[in-house]
Amino acid sequence: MSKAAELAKMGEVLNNSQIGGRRNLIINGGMQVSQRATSATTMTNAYATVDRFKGFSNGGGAFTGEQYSMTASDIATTGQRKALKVLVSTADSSIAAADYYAIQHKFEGDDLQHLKYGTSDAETMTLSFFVKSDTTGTYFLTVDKIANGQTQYLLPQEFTISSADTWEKKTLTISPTAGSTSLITGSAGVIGGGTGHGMSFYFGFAWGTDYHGTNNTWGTGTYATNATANGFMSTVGNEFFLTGVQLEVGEVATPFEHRSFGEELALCNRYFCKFISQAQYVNFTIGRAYSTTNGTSVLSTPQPMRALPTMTTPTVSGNFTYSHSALTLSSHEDALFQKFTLASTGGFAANGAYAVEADAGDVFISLDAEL
Amino acid sequence: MIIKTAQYYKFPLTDEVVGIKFTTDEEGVEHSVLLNSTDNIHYKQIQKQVADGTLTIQDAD
Repeated sequence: MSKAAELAKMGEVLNNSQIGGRRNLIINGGMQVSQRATSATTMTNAYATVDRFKGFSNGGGAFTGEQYSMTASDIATTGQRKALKVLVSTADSSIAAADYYAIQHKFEGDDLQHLKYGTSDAETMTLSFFVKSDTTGTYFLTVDKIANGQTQYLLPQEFTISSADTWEKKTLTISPTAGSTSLITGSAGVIGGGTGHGMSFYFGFAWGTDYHGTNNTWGTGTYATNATANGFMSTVGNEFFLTGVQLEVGEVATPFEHRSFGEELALCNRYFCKFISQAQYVNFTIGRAYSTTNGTSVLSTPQPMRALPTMTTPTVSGNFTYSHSALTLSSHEDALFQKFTLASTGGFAANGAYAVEADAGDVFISLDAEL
Repeated sequence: MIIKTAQYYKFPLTDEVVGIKFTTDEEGVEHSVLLNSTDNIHYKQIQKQVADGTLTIQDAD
């Protein structure tokens, strides 16, 4: 290749925005981070296991999620050490019109402004991922452009698992004009800015007829198609594995962008962080008692959080020393949502110091600012 | 996510209401969220259930 041709090729690649900076818009696409739990946990409309991937369901069925550790053969095929394993725990063999079962990944609006949705220059995206299931058939990827004061638009795309219990790599192109529509390129297609919810992706097992539309066509209320049900939710014990999820701008699926565990954890910590005691008397933070019964301490998070979080602890009484009977968020100390004042009620020496301290192993304080 | 119970709580030093304690169907845990956490999914769910008439926030002790 001549020098001129090489430069032209470089320019083409750079224009595709596919080698500049961070490519993968998905956080934790390799399923490395699993702060809440690693073993099977019910995911009913909750973040329960691997970070940033949430259960999304309506109906009588249920599924669990766990962080699955890959075998050498799995790693050789996928290049990933972890996967999200979904297992049907309560069957739903008759999907009602309003039922749905899916895994959801949410994005902040500010993180997607370079997609230029809401303009005629809206970008094409490419989603790639590895998937494996004992149940073959048609599944659904759904792109959900959140309304945010405009209109919610949805793009369902079928994908097929062809061989049971076999890793398959899927690549889906997400065109802003899919189905020859102009919903996304029109002004109502804009993705709201800010730190709020801008877009969701769903990996769908089943959607009732209330949500059916045309494959690969933007619409409203259309999360899936009327493709023959795959039957995944019909039998307890059915399994679905997902890993190597990558979403990038452009029309080509490039190799998975591996990030270190530390980088991925830091990205996840914007939405959720969990401090866990490894043993009794582990300190979470130190406080100042202003009376014999009350005091305050400051808890700092590893990263600034997306928004004011919810604090969760195990039942305070009995799990924290100094006879703690209450432990609550009382204020945030900085504009970045990284320092929080905790109010303690317990038994203290007035004007002395005390510890917010576990009275056993596996006691935790978590802060949740998920979308 | 369904919020089962909710109650305002005070910051003892100032005796001002600063947040809402709540429970969900997850047993054995306690949650607290500051007032006006308008971009917090739990706070939004509490407000939704209050508006729907399915939840009443109890006064602070």
